[in-house]
Amino acid sequence: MMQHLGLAYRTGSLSTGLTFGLGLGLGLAALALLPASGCLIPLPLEQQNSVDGGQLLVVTGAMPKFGSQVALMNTMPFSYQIDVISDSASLAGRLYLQVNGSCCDLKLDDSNVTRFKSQAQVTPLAQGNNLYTVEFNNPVVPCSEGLPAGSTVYVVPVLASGGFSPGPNPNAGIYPDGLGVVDRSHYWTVKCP
Amino acid sequence: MSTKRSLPPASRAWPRPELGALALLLALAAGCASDSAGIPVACSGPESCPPPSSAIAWAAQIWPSSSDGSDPQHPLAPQEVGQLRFDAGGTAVLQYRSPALSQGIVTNAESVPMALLRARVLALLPTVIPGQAALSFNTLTANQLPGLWSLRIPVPEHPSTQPYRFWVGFDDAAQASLYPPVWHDQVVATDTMVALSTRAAADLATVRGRITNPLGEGVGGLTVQVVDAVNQIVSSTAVSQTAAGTALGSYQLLVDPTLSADAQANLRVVVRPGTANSALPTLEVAISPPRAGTALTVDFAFPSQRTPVPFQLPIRGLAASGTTMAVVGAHVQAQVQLQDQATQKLGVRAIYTTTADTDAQGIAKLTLVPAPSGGPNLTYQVAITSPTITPFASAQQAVQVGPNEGLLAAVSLPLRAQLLGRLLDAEGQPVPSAQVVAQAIAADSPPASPPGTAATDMVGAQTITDQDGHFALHLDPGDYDLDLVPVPGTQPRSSVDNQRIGTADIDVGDIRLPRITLGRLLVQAPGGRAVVGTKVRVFQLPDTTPRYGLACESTLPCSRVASLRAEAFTDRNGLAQFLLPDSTPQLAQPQLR
Repeated sequence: MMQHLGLAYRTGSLSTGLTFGLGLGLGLAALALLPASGCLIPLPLEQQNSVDGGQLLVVTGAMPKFGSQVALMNTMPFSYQIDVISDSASLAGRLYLQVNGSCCDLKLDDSNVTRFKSQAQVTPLAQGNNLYTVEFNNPVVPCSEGLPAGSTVYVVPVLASGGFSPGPNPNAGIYPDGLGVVDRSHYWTVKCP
Repeated sequence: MSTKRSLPPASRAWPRPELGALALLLALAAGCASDSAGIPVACSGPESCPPPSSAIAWAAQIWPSSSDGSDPQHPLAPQEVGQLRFDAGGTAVLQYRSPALSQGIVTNAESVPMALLRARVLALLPTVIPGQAALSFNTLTANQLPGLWSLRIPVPEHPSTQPYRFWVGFDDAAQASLYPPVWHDQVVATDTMVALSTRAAADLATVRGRITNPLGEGVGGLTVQVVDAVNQIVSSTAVSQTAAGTALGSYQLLVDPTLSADAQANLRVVVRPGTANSALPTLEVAISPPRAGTALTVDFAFPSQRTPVPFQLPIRGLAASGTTMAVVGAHVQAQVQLQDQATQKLGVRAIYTTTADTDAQGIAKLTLVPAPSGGPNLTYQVAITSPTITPFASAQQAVQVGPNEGLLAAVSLPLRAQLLGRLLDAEGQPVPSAQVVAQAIAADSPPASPPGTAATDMVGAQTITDQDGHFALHLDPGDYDLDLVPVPGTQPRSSVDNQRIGTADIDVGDIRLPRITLGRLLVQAPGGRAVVGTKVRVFQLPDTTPRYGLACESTLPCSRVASLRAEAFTDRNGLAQFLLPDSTPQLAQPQLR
């Protein structure tokens, strides 16, 4: 059974509750502590209950590469795909637009800041190698949000090793189960015309 | 039981992409994921799998990783192959071409480099795989050397027939108000200089006017642009003047008539209020394509309207038993056209749009313009996109809004039609645990109008086959391709295309997957070095040739996009191996239930 993490106790800003992915320091520390199996295990930030899967969640790449994009018209669609290593078959992804020009304090209950756009199709690449493709294959139209010319929209993927659940406060959106991450270095920006 | 965690510093982040790739390589080296490019399990037995069918048109994309061993100064760039051919042994070799260095200086019409320019240069390479996005690369012009830019971009498979489109846009608001976007098509076969110049004033048309409120006062701070029939911007971007006085609300912009996708079609001058003025409607006026050197006056007036106030719109799902239940998480967009004598006189179309998601009680809290006191109700067009996890269908409905804020009459959503079926392998055995994903077939029609209010993004419905291969999907009415994604390595990905879903349930019966073939893709860098960790995506190109008079008729669903059939990473020998179907699935006769 997947554990619901403490982020549900904070309903205002998702990122402050969720940004416990592997950081640079953590990643290097984890590399130094590779267990005998040779697999990469993230270090828990504090003691947590054991979970089924969801111990491994690493982004290895994206199509297009994370970074800036330019929309030539307000109705221009974009598609996104992320390569992920995870030991959980319940891996899920959601895509949010941050429309107030900042990244990445997601506020799920404030559509002036954060808008849910797409649920990912998650496909394992081969048996037993923990490689997944997280694909948002329904085109997203970041600049169709009624924004002024020249606005920058942040396209923020949220990954959850245990999928998503409504959380204790249904009004506040849907929260990741298991290991969930909002990322401050893996996102796209779209410059609107 | 949950425990409250201590919160990490907000700046803590995932590893950067290159660190992620490093972690992947370390994990691979440590034996954590050593089968990534191995032979698929279905073909690992004593009997070898046949090569991919030459009767199917294949295409491929290759995406380099940041740790593929290439020279950091000359990194590999993504590449497409429009016609992928496997040899008799089932192997195809793809060689990365050296990226080309494209560079230039953005100049004015007199070929003088534009000083103090902050322009964004975008290079777009149209895809050769239908349905895939164009490859795009962008950069900013240098600050120190005026207008200078450079981009390293992939050389296309057939450069002469695949020209790049270079585009220049202006980040600086003052410059954006002076120059329409610049387009330039150019073949890129090797390192290339690209001349990008703004158009001379004599080649442009001027549109000017004033934006006023119902009291005749100017309204400043609003974005004004001219767009063509496909919403492409063909003008500079003006912001209506905010200085008090007679100029308040006035604007002027320059139109490049040559940028329009259809030179004969009408253009639209669009005024967008932006988030700071979200209570205002979007305004637009249609104009004939202006001639270069001419000036046109287009004035706008906001209609007299009441200030938007909160309304609650309940969204209820209507179950088969006749009971209703709240639909949580539905996306609701409400739109109304407002008009008065002033807008009618000026030919202004004023569209007010607002959106909200339903809460735990199924209520969408919408901020709507109420009807005038003592006047007729306003008729809003409301589009409700129901979450894929509910059985209730998305819907569009007219909603009457009166003069008083508060609770509106509930909108009832009917049940979605069920698409049922059973997935079998080529030998007739059930295929369990396969993903079945309904991909909506995109309409050919242009995007929604006006700009800024495009249709809600669709989310594809998906499910998993049970132990007997059965699946059921609840789908909105529409046309779909049904992607079939078995457990990797056991069966090839396939799809049942062009399924039309109405309001009645449909049982497609048994879907028998095609036989398995084994494809191998060897990826090499320029010079022949094997490329490690490249992502390979293999597509089956769409077959839209008319057969029996049925394919791609206007009244029938017709998928025109390539379907993804395999994804893999290359191993240390630069080899990726994957299953491909030898044909299309066999489908039993669909039955309405």
